[in-house]
Amino acid sequence: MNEATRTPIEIAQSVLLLAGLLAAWEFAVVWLDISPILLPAPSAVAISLVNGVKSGLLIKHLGVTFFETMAGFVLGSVAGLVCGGLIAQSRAIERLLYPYVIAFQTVPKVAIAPLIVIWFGYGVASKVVIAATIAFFPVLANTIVGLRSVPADQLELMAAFMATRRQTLWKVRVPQALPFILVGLDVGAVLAVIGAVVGEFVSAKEGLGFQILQSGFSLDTAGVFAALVLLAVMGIAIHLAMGFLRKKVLYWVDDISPVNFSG
Amino acid sequence: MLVSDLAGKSADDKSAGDKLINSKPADLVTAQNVRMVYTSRNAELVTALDDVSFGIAEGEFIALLGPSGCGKTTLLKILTGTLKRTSGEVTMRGQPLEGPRPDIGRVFQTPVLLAWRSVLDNILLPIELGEGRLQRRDYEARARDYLKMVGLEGFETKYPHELSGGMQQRVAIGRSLIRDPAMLLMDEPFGALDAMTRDLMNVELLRIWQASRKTIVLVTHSIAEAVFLADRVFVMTPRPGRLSEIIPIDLPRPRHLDMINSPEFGHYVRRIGRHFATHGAVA
Ligand SMILES: Nc1ncnc2c1ncn2[C@@H]1O[C@H](COP(=O)(O)OP(=O)(O)OP(=O)(O)O)[C@@H](O)[C@H]1O
Ligand SMILES: [Mg+2]
Repeated sequence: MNEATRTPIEIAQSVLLLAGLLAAWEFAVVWLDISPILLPAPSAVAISLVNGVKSGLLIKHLGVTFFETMAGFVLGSVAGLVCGGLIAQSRAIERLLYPYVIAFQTVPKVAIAPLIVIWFGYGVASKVVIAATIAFFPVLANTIVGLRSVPADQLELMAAFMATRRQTLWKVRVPQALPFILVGLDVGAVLAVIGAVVGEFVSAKEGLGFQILQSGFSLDTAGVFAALVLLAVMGIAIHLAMGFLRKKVLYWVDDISPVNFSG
Repeated sequence: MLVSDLAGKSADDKSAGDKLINSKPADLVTAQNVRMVYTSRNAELVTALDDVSFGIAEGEFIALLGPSGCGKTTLLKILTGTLKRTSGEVTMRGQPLEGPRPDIGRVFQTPVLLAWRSVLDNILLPIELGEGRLQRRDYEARARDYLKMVGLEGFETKYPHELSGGMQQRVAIGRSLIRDPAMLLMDEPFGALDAMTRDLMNVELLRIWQASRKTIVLVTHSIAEAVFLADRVFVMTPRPGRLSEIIPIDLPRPRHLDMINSPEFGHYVRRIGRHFATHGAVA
């Protein structure tokens, strides 16, 4: 959550740890003479990654998966926000819809991925829909909880100043819900990556998930790792972007990183 | 001495009140046999107020004094119109009070500022809600005046989390004044302040009151504060919350802090202290 609160020394320590692990991995593969099909050395992964990027193949797959993730995320979170807003508006709507929402959530989305592929085809659309269904719930749940989290004294304040329902919604409920909604969006965005890849596993002709399967079939384990590295980078980038958005939007939340002079 | 002293005291009050209305201005606010019973979560009934009656004249300064839990906040909520009384009558300007009104300002026991709004935007919130966004400009100068008055000049663009608790409560006071309400209901507004700032704020409050002739009802735990500020002290006792005595304070105005050491002042403080002692409640 608080990437920015890390000191340069802590960052250096993390990088050193990674470098140490990679070095140990490299030496272990060489010394123990492990088959590259079982576990490729980091250097082999790096070469595969550079080649894939140079040829444009990995970049193309990355682009496809990124698009599916983002489109699914936007679709799922807009649906989550709208439904959450409606459900939080009235207990009657909540009683009507919520049992179905819970039932929907308890079904593992991964299990219905093949069904979605049948309905939405083998192209990008089915991946977008799978990513959307997975991203939907955390946004929905956090929107409802957030809109309901308004302290009683703030509601009394608005009542005493004769605010309309609408004014109370936009001037108090929504700002009060924003921290929750942003957490929901963060979780939803990361889950959308999983949704897109699962969709590609079921059936696809492009995307990083497809690439992982292809490399696996041809026993190109270094290629699998190269695609995994790109997926991880994408996931981290999305999470960091959400953290940045959170800082920008929640300007009033006081988590300014303390300056650590002592190190 | 005031019409309000008679209200709700005896059975023939109504006729007495009617006669007096012709000669003196009617009370701004009256309460008749107000009762408030809360239903708690486990369906238990809590009688927070029982048989509370009084009248408050326009321009009067009332201190509502009583120990914790005796129903002071409850009474203030009912007068604000945000809490529906279980039974009894409340009127303002002769009309039954059935909900919040624009001419009543309210200061809560905690500041209740909106964290995402700057100090200036918090003070202007009632204007935005009542008069609309476009009218904001007309009130900005006044908002800045109030900020200066409560000693927060230059803090317009700060956010609540950047202020101390006492500063936040002073912003809340500015917010309650912005629509220039006829009546100000203040729930322990200076409870969170240190003794020195508290004295200064009390003097400042008296100055505002004297200049604007607002009607003020101020809740407090402090006997000395009640005597220093009020025309009349409403003394409340708990379980159930009742208005057990109304004590007029005949100290001269304007009042100064050094009056606290006068024998008359001490007399009032002792008298109220005795009242709590005999009623078994410690303020
Ligand atoms: N919403 C509520 N539900 C149930 N009981 C309540 C509720 N609000 C207040 N009470 C009860 O009513 C009584 C009076 O409460 P109130 O807040 O008016 O006291 P108070 O005089 O303002 O106390 P303090 O000086 O501590 O602020 C208390 O016994 C309290 O427990
Ligand atoms: Mg109270």
